[in-house]
Amino acid sequence: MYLEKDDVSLYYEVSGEGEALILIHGVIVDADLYREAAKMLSPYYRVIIYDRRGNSRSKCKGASHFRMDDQVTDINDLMDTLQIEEAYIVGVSAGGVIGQYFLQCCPDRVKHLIAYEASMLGIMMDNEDLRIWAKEMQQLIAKRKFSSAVLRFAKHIGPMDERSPRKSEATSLREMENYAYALTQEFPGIAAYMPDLEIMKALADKITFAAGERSVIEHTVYSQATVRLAGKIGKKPVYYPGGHNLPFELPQEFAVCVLGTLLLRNR
Amino acid sequence: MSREEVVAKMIEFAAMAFNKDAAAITENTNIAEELGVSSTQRVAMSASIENDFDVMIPVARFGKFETIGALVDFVMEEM
Repeated sequence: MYLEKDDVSLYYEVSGEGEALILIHGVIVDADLYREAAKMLSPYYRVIIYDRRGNSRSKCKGASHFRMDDQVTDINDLMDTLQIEEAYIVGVSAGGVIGQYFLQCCPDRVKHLIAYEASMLGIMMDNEDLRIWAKEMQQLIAKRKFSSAVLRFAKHIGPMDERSPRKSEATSLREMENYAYALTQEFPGIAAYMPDLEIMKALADKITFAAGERSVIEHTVYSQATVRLAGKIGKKPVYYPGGHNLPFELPQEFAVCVLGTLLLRNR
Repeated sequence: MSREEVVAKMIEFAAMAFNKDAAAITENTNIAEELGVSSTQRVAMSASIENDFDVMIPVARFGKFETIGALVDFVMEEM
């Protein structure tokens, strides 16, 4: 289904009934990151997955510039269209950053947020290696060497789980078409973002920071960012059994962890 | 650089990216059917082309090149 807006046709899918659970994807990928996990969660929640604007099936009408406020507006518009007052939000990678900003802007609309390996790179820029990596990324993007930039980008994602399903050719091609927008718009926008820590401290009960055990073992920047961000607002992260792309690679494990986290959130 | 040299390089890149035996790859090798459709592998090959030939292949276009020969033609035009 599409939500037609002035500046974008927003692609979304809804499955299941009950309390709303919105799954937000990260950079380059799309709603299909969660396809299998959404099927497993839909007996328990009304699950909404969508392609964020500028990605895959959510084509912008005219120039597509990345703005965090547009991401918030899109979630609000989706919720209004689906007559949802409050929702559980799960965001992976950049989806975790957007989920965090949505919570910061619209706390009354969020029952709970799970930020899984949120790519909160802004808080990690005191790390010399990461600064060099970000600069190299910027240089490759400026030269429009997108494939080289994607390879460099993947350095911090870690290897794919050997149990992971393979992506279909259609999904692969769709993701490849996202590269230019992801690299020139979303990557710089997400990397520059800084959360308001005072607001986050006040909303700490509504957030679970999660990271993958494999990411922790491999010491990826996203697992480090998760630990650091959780610490900054006085929380401890929880650990799920996998890597950065857990929802796609091990959807059942991801779904079980999401269910468990939401069930236990107030204990 | 001659076409033969570009073909040789392209076969080397394809063998590395798709983890195949270079001896089994020719200009007529069908990329999707004989090498694979993994985006990661396509990106790895594209990155080699970017770095070695300074030719940028729009990544979405990569899937539209049927054979190694077609990819060579594109690179030759862009060099």
